[in-house]
Amino acid sequence: MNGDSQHFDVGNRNILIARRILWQHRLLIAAEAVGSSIPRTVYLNVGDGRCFIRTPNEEFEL
Amino acid sequence: MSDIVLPPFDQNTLNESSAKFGALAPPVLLVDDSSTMREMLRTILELCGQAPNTIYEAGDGIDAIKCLKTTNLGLLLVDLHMPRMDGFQLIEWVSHQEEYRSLAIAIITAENCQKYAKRLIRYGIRSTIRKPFRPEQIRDVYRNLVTNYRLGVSR
Repeated sequence: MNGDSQHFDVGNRNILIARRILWQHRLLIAAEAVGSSIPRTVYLNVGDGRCFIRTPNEEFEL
Repeated sequence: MSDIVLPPFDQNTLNESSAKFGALAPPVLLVDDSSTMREMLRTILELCGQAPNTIYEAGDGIDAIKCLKTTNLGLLLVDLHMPRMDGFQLIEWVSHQEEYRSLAIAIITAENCQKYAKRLIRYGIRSTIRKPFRPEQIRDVYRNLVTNYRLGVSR
């Protein structure tokens, strides 16, 4: 099935659709972490609104 | 290799609310012969906090000069290919006017600006955006221009 996902380019299409929906709702993107095949976990600190991304190799703030 | 894109802007400015940022922004003139493009640029600038009544529009260089003479503008977003008077003629005219030295200018064009790089640098223009662009590119250039304008960084 791996070949299929490359064939249909699902990842890139998801990114494009997400950008289009945000623009349709008149939202500008403050930061993004997209593409490739690394697993990501998003943490949102509800106290101060800060957002972090954790991958197997690093953790960084958006 | 992860594809992480962070906005090329310092955190202090990012933390500033859009409304606060836009309130400190000078009036802007959008110069493009396409009304659709002007409308899109206007929407983006309004999302960045620019007050709607401080955004002016011109369909070509001649209209832009008329607006420059009657309005106290700070920023210029210019398309290169336009009828009557194109973007190059406009920025050349502006570069010869002493009273517009502090005007911040960005070029937005479908063409590859690399081949015009020398010419644009001669006019003191460092900001170029290639069409098709993402709204965030306009925001980042706009914020840089406004910040430079506020700091008094001259072209």
